[in-house]
Amino acid sequence: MDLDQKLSIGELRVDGDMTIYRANEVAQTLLASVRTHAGDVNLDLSEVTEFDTAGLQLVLMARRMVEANGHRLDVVRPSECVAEVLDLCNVALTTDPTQAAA
Amino acid sequence: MTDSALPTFIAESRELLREMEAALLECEQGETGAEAVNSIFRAAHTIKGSSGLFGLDGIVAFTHVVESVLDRVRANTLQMDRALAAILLECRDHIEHLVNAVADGKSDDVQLATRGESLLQKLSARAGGPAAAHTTASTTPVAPAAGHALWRIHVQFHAEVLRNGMDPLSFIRYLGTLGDIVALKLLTERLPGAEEFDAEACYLGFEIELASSESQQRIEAAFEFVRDDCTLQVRQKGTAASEVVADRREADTKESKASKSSDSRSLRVDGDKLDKLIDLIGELVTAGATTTITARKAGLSELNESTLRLARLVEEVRDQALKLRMVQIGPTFSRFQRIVRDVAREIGKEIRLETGGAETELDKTLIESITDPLTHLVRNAIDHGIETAEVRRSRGKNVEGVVRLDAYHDSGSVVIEVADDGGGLKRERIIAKAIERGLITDGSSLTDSEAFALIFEPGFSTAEQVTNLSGRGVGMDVVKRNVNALRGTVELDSKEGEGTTVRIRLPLTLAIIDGFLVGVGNSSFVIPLELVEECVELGDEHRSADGDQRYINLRGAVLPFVRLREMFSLRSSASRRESIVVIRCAGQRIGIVVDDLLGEMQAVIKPLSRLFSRIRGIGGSTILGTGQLALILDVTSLLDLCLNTRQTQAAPRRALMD
Repeated sequence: MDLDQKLSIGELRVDGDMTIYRANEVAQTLLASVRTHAGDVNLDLSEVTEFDTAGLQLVLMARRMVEANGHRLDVVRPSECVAEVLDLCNVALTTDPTQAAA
Repeated sequence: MTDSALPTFIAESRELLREMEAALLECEQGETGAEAVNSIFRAAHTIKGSSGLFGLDGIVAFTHVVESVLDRVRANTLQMDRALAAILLECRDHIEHLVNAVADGKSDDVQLATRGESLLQKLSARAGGPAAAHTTASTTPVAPAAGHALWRIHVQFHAEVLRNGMDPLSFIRYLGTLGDIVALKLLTERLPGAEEFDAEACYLGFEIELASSESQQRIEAAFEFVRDDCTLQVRQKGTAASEVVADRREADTKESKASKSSDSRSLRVDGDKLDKLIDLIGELVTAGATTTITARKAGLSELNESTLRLARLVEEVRDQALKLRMVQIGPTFSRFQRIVRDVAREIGKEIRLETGGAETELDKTLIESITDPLTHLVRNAIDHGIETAEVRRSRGKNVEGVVRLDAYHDSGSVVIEVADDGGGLKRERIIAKAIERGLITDGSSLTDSEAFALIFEPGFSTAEQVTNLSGRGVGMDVVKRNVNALRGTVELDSKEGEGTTVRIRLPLTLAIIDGFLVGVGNSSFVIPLELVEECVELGDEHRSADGDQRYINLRGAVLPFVRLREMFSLRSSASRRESIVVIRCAGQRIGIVVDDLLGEMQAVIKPLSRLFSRIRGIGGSTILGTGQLALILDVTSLLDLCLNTRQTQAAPRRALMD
């Protein structure tokens, strides 16, 4: 499993592909972690190697769940492919845009 | 997905691979259109998708890489050029090998896998790694350039789109190549609550403002692959008050419905079922003829009327059924693109293949049987017809040679031409060779076309240099034999220094013909109706007892004729009134003398048994409504026969002996 929980408090990291091929698997782990977590979440996507619509939806879904609890979710250190998609779709999920494509 | 669907997958994949090949060859020739790239992409994408359904991971993995490279070509981040097309062509071949391996039931071939690996390396060396796929066109908001219209695109992807193997993002990226994305808003309203969220369903939509000089059609075409999987709305935002609103949603759904139904309008049918149908219709035609005759005898006018109506319907059914077997020759022609490319490369000539008449239809079995002779002719043209580049240059010709394939309908037959603009045939050399081979003794009296026809004789080859492709002297006679076996003919035109054209003439179908029934003594013969020009009475002045005279004066023109009675040694005395059926075949006119003219009929061709296969002058037999047998004349060979025996003393039995 590429999803490491609680690297630090409120920090989640997804590694590997975030695509339709792994959507169910990633969704289960990611959404479960988000659900059990109270407080702001930093989603570390620096190790994501492929990112498609399904991946984007997952992140949006996770953010919505966090926001429903009155907290916020930020994508930190998006990998190149994640940054490209976020840029293409004009979604601001990152706190610090200078970190994009790092 | 059951294994019973596997043959369909294989057949479909092969079809797609053929399309892919044609498009790739187009690209390789430097004519990279969006159409071609799209069709290559579609082929790769569909094959990947279907292989996934069958769990053919090898094909999925390989094709995925190819597809992502193609995706970048579509998005204009990668330039399609000759080199890339050549590599992609190799990849296509590899996919074909993989599919063939599946067809043969040995999908885990290690050698194939290694070859695939090295191909992918080659591909990524040329195209950059798959990771680079994401460095796509910039989408920074830009002010619309002058002359560009501003389009508002609203697209909502349906839930199934991801499962269907499409990534909506790739369409947005592609859109970026059609113009500048001025603004983009992600529509997330359809995202459901956490409980109902299905990670594999798509909930997203986009609202895009695009500054583009492309037409509305082109912009909508960007979503071509997801037509059925999205709700699309493209509107032009006018700059002035005249805001053109073209809500295409209605039209679009209609369009997608239309395209859906046109998809389902064609279906795959087992060829055997069709053959069975044609067989039955043949029987129906015969039975119908019997009924007509019986009705006529019975003399009931009502019965007569209804049989006539029936006969007309049967005729229509027959025509429709035969049409089912008709296939366009285009795909066969495009297969030659590859052959020409490969062979030309192998022998170091620059050759372009042009095709015409791709929409010409002919019987499926004919197409299958004609492919081999055509291949031979095309290879011959490349190998012996087209000169080397140096020779062409010194002759002041374009260095690039042209081989041309053409097909068209001509008076009841289909003509397929293979033409080249090469050196042409050298009459003297052919005659010299023919004399050397003992085919003829003296060539001075031969016309050009007779001399050229010699190369179709067994054991003849004019090539001075024998290559491994063709020219072992076994070629042209085999071509002729194959074509003759299909009741067709081959002829050849050539002009030294300018090129050669080989013309194959084939019947439209093998199963049923419209015939003209004639009688000689007690025997009946059928002449293909499309060849009959007119019927005239044979005047007394031409009926010399010894049968010496073999031509008449038909309105000032000489018309040679043959007597069927003599050709087939029928032992009955000539009737008091004979008629001449004037037929035109392959540009020549000839008369056939018969006793009775019995009228038009539909003849279901029953092939002659092999015992009689060597008989010339007869193409088959048919059963008449009366249950009697009639022989179908093979006019072309009859013509040959009587023109060749014309000078010699008539040898009546010749026709049956040969």
